[in-house]
Formats: sequence, structure tokens, C-alpha cells
Amino acid sequence: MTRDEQERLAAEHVLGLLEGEERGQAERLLASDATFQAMVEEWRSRFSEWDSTAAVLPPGDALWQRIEAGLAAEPARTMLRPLAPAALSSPSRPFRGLWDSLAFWRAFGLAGALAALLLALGLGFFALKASRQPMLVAVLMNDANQPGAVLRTFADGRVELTPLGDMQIPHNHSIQVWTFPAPAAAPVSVGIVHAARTVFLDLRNLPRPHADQLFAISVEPLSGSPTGLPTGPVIMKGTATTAL
Amino acid sequence: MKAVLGEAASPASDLNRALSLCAGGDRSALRVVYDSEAPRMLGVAMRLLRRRALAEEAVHDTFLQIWRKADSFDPMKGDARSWLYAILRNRALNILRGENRTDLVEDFEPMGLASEEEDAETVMLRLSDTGRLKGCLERLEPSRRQAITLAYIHGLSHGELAGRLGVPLGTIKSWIRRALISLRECMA
Repeated sequence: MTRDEQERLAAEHVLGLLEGEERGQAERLLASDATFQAMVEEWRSRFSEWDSTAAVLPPGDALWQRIEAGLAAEPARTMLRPLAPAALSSPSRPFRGLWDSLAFWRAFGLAGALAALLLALGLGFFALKASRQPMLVAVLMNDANQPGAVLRTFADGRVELTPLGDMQIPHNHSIQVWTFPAPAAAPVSVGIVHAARTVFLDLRNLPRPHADQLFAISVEPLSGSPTGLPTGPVIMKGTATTAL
Repeated sequence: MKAVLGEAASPASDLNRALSLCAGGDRSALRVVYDSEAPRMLGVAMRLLRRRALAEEAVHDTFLQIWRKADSFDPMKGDARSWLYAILRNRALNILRGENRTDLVEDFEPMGLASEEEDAETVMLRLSDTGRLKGCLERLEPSRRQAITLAYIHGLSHGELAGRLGVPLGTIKSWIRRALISLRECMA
């Protein structure tokens, strides 16, 4: 990797922009490479001026009390560094040196922790993958017959809505997502959205969505439709299709 | 005389000393760090997480990590404050990327979302004139400045920036890269 590449990796690590492979790469370099550590440190200090622009919010006593309670659960620090001289003076059995070696147990402990971490990451990855596989996908088309949003439903009843392009929500309004569990029946609200960004909604209280189910989005007051039915204009709609 | 002045002078050396006392097991030193940094940390965490309860959780976890890791802090390698905020940002971004993703809509309705967000220009005006960041950000094109500022203060991902600023993902990535190159040259 070139120096410029490393600089970018260091800066994007500090910004929190890295994902996937690059994120792992940055974490490995940060643990092992002094040049990279120095780059990261420099970027942290460059960006730290932004931290000073944040509001100062008095945290209140309850937070400190929770932290203190957390400290009480930590092992006492002074107990952590004994050993060494005793190990040298008692060479009774061949593996005694190893048994008493802090370095050995440190390495052993680290290896164990690393194995557990890898296992956890692996499990997490597959769990995430399984829960991330959508059941149904609906592309909601706007009046101009352009895709305006993508809606995906998941096995656990969550629904992810991703607005596309330059969807604008009129000032002082929200958009409300509706679905029609039965074609002839009234629409049911899935959720109210205030910002044009990916959000999760909840379908768990509704019948399990099926292929060809209609989804629609209407413009509503900030607190959502006052009547429980769409009151504003429908700005996009589409039917769900099974995801393969 | 000199020594007395030196002790009272720099908040950075106060933090260094507090961290080394933490490493020795002195809880009152952690409280010193808390009193001096927690209010600002809560503000930084609120910008990233938007919800008070989540922001407090991030600060809580950060102080437990400071306590645990204080002996690994090396004042020769870096600044104490930037070490503290690195722990905070790491924790807050993990909460943001992992847990907030699964939020259900009724949970975040009272948050007000975008309306409470600060935009990049407001934040830039609040930067100190004596620092270098402000002048160097001013030299960036406004769109690039906005992208990199929102990434840092609100923790937006490449994808979220693309959605927010209404440009393709590739454009966002190249804006950020160019902004970084320019900032590095300017702040060197």
C-alpha cells in the first residue's frame, strides 16, 4: 500500500467511514504498524477541533454513579502485577518455568481471546447475513413513474425503507407509509418518517406481508395522519415481490 | 516557582497526570477526568447518536474503558484529550453503526431527526479562528466541506452522505478523498 493510501485509510478510520475489508485492514495496521499509528494520531489531532464545537451538556450525577458502579465490578488494579521473582527461584519441574511465566500466560490468554473474538465475529457475520436477507422487495414509483423508494421486508417483521434520488419531505410535514394487507380493505399505517434517509419500520403487528401486497406513501402532518387513513397526496406506491 | 507555574498551567498535563493516577488505581483521578471532559463528551456523543440515553451510554462505556486502559496511554505518543475522544468516538460509532440501525420508527419519532442537526456551515463558524481547521476547511469547495464535516460530527456513512447530499456514492467517496488530500497539505 502506498503512503497516500495509508494516509487516506488513517483519515477515514478517524472519520468512521471505513467498512468491511478496509476497516479490518486499518484495525490490523493500527495494532501493528507504528507509522500508521502516527498517521492516525495526526488525523485525530487535526479533527479534534471539531469536538470543541460540540455543546457542553452537564451530565448529572446519575451518570457518574453508574460509572462508579461499573468500576466496582472491575478487578482491583493493584492485584494485577505480581509474580516474576518467585518463578526464577523455584525451578523444580521442567515446565515450572513455563507455568510461572507471565509472558506465556499472557500469550496464552491473548490467543484464547483472539480465538473467541474470531468465533464471535464469524457468528455475528452469519447471524447478520441471515437477518439481512429480505423476504419481499417493493420498488415504490412516483408520479413521474421513476423509482422513489425501495422497501424491503425481513423475516423478523422489520421493514427497511430507503428513499432514492432527491426525495424531499415538504416543510413541517412527514411522510407516512401505508400498506394494504387485503386488496379490498382499508390501508393500514406502517410508520411515519420525518427525514429522507434509510429507516426501519415495524410490521410485526400486521399480518405477514405477501407478494403483490401494495405499499404507498402519502404526505401527512408532522404527527402523521389524524384520521388513521391517508389524508395527503399519495406521492409513490408499488407492490411487493418475493426476493430470491 | 517555575514548577508551581508549570503545574497550574496546562490542562493537557493535568489530564496526563490524572490518567497516570488512574493507571495506578486512583478513582478520584477518574473523577477529575470526568469533571473536566464528560460535559463536552456528552455533546460530541449527542451529535453522533442524537438520543440522550444512547449518548450517556457511550460516555459511560468510555469512562470504564479509560479506567481499564489508562496504563496503555503513552503521553509520548499522543495527546491525552485526543486519546480520550478516540475512545468515545469509537464507542459512539459502534453504537451508531450497530445498534441504532435496528431502531424502530416509534422509538425515534421524538428525536426530531434532521431538524435538530447542525449543518456544516454553522459548525465551521463555531471553529476557533486560532486553530488551523477552519482556514483549511474554508479552502474546500462547499460540497466537499459539507461531506467531510457531516461525516465527522454526525457519523454519517458514505451511503448516508450520498443520500443526504443527493449525489452518487462514487462522487461522495471522491469528494472525501480530495478533501482529505487538501486538508493534509493545508494543515501540514
